[in-house]
Amino acid sequence: MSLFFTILILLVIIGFPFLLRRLQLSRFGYWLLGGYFILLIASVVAYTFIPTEEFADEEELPTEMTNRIYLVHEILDQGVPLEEFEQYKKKEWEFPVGTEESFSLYAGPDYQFPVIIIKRVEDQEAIHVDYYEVTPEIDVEPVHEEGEVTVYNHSGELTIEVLGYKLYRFNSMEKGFPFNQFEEEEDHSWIYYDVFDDERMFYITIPADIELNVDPDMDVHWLN
Amino acid sequence: MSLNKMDLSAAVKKQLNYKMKVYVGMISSLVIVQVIGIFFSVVSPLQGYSTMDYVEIEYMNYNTLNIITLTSLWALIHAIIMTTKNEWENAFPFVGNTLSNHLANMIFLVGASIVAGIVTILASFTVRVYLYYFTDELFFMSPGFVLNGGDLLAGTVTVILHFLLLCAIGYFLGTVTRLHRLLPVLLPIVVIGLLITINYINHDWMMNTVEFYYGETSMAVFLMKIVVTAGILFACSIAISSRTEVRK
Amino acid sequence: MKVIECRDLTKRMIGRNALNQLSFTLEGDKITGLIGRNGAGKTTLMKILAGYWHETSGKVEVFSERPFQNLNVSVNAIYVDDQMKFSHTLTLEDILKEAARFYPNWDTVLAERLFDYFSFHPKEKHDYLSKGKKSTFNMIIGLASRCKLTMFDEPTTGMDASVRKDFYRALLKDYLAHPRTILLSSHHLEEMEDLLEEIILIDEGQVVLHESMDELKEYALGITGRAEILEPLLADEEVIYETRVGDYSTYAAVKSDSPVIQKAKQHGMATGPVPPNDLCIYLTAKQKGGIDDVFK
Repeated sequence: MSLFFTILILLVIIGFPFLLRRLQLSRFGYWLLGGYFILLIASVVAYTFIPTEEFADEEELPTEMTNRIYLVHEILDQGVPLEEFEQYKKKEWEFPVGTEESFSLYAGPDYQFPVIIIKRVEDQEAIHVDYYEVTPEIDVEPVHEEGEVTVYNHSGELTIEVLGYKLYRFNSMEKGFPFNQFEEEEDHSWIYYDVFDDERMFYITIPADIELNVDPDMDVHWLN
Repeated sequence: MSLNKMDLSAAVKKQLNYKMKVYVGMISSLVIVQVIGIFFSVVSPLQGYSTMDYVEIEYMNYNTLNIITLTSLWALIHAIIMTTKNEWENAFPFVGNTLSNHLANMIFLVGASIVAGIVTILASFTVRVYLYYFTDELFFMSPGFVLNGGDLLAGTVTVILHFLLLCAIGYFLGTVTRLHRLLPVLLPIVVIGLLITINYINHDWMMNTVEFYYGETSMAVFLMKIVVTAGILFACSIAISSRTEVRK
Repeated sequence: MKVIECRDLTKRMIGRNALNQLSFTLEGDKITGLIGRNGAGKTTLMKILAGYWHETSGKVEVFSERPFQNLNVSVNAIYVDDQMKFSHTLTLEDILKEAARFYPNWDTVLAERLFDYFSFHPKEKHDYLSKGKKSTFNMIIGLASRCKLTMFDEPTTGMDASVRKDFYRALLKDYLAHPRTILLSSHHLEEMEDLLEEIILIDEGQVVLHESMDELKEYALGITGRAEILEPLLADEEVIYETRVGDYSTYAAVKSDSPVIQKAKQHGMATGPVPPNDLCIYLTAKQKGGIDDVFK
């Protein structure tokens, strides 16, 4: 490949001036074109050194991100036992029930409403809150990351606070016209939603005889 | 002193070389337009911003459409300029007639389209190389970054034909304006007015026309459509100016 | 061989006939002057002969071919005027090189020598030349192209007297070395008298006179005499031109075979040749009298 380009560049450097002399076209515009052409060839050579594996192959690009785990989906729809996702558990809290008979559940001031799964469990004296987080398996580091997840109990008012966010910044390149004239170029931007999104889930178990009032805005699923 | 003979092909050949000298400015402006196009492609990506519940993404979507757009304008404008009275007379060579002059101009435009097409395709590598090596931002997935052999072939053929079509349109419009003194002023108004009217009466017509050419998915059919259209436009240009007198 | 043949050649321009049923034939290698007043149709005729313009009706042939858009005519005929335009991308040097590529008989040595003699700079642009310089440069192209039919339309426009003289001299020398048909239109007939072999006088799109220079010199005689004697003599005869000189004398130009001449000589009046330039003016005068009549 490099031999081909070497020959091509040599051919241009030697052949082009010869051609111009021959056609009496030794003028600035043509020399400019020749110089520009050499620059272009050089950039093609540089392009061949770019490892193409770094870029996803259009044909192999999945139509949906099948290798991802969607906790809520697995637990609620597929009925997979929670124990299988132990590795994603990031934090846990325990709040003794004491004398209270009813609790309220609120979201934090940021109005971030994570998915919450609640299960009533017999023989349990406290409220357990487990926090699960699935982050994307990509080698792109966020350029900005802050986050604090806290749950606190204030005299019967349980508040879930999820603060902060992650920022990813990256480039993409479109082929565009004229390369896509004869085949539809897929719009891949939807993939980013799947790839970058974090899934955050709270799994709450409460004693069977406790009443829990839930803020109606919250996305809560009761398991029983 | 004996009489000399000159046939059409010899005249066109000599004139073509003459045109290549006279229209050297078109070559310089091609390079300038391309460099500007590369510059804009690099500095003005489409910026995207998405927020999900906990994640924000900012992405720059680069493309090389700027180069195509600027070079398209270059093709259209130069083809029109070629037919203006002043340029026509300035570039009218010593020996020749209207037909040979047209043919030489057209062959030059075909050649210019081919050169423009090739450099445009190569320039899309330059943009990719610059973005990859000289910017800090990381490319993520981006299947559009990789150009394979099939892309190159399709892209080169398409863009050459695209420039050729624009040259033919410009050349035809320019030639029409030379039929009457008022046409340079009237024609743009008439053409734009006609397009607006047609668009008003039949909304899809313009889209369908563009779709007819640029929605074509078979390379052979696309090639045929453009070559036939350009051929008709060039032939019309020759036909309507066959009685035109030179050097008034 | 007929170089030019025109029969009933008519060219309709906006509102009038620039050429009106014009007929003449030109044969052999000669220097011919195309003489006529402004707007007589000289330029129109030459542009038709060069193939730039098409005729409205009638027949026109150059080297036995219809000239309009004809490549064979184009390569064998050159039309030089002060409107010649060249692309601004070409220098004078380039223009000469290009002309050499197009004209098979191009004389590079002559072109270069004339170029140096008139001290042009090779890198100059045609657009920026002065009027006289432009004419001089165009003349070089006209001469060096050595076309079988070479047409100069007002070639001396803007040239100063010495360049004009040089031009006529160069034209004659080159013509003698390489005989060909040269058609010259000019206002300065008196300067070209020695150069021309033949003249075609046209007026209002028609050929008034097509004579050799020698015949033209003898075509008419001028008579000067006392008005009261000469004017009755002229009364019934064909008179080319007649004017009062002073209060009592009359000057008249008549054809040299006119019977008036004999009678005038009997009255002892002075007769003499009419200079070709004056003759041409007389023949194409729109009416008797002249500009003076306008102010009467």
